[in-house]
Amino acid sequence: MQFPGQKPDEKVTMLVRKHWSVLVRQVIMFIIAAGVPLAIYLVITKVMNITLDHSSLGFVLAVLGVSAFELYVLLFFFIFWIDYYLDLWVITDSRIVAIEQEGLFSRRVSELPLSHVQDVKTDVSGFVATMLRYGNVTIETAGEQSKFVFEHIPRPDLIAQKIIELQPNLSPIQQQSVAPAKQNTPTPKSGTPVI
Amino acid sequence: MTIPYSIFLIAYAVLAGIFLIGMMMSLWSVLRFASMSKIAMISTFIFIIAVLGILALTWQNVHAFDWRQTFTFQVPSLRS
Repeated sequence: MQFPGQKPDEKVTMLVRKHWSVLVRQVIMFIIAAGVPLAIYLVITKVMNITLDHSSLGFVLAVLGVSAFELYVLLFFFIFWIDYYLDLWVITDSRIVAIEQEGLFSRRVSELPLSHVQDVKTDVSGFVATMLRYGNVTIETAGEQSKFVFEHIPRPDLIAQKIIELQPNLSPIQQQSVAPAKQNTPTPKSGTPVI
Repeated sequence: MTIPYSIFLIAYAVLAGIFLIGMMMSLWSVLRFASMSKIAMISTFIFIIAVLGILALTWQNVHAFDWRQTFTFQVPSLRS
């Protein structure tokens, strides 16, 4: 696994993106928007049994209008997809990197050395979040940026556990006894598949 | 006053041109930041195929139309 800005001797432990449910609403809106012209066409031709004159100006203008509409719907959905896909959190053996894409030309990268991690909290709230197992992980730091937040990510309990395990300041015995400070999700059982 | 039908084609071409600019910017963003990952390449490929499909269907439906025809309408006159 590699990510932009990775150091030569750095090993990536986890690459985390937002949960797929973030995309669902946009996908549904895209399908509805893209399907409306087709639905109208089917209603006119099949239900109302109106025969369209394919050589008329009206039909041609309708085709051009629908074509432009579909192109822009597709473009907006692709831009949203890019924004979703390029947002990611990278946990390596030495640091946590948060890459946030804001639009097409704006990108914010935050970095947190693992040695600066003071506290790790997970938060899973709501019926849907509990069923789909996604939530937030908040890391309190000793650096200038007091909080580092992983938002809307899958299996936040596993992410928190991994961050704690990678803590360089803790001895192996201390690592076994440390749990996330605040955890609203049940501890995963052994053998739980990793993301 | 006569308006050629091709004016609608020009309007569509302008919209399509703006779309192409947006498409180029988003493709640049993917190439620049997505590090050529498999998912990024597949999604970009699907997007390009969908765009080409829409343009092909549009061409199929409008290429036979005679765009040289004109639309004539009379501007209301103030004279009696």
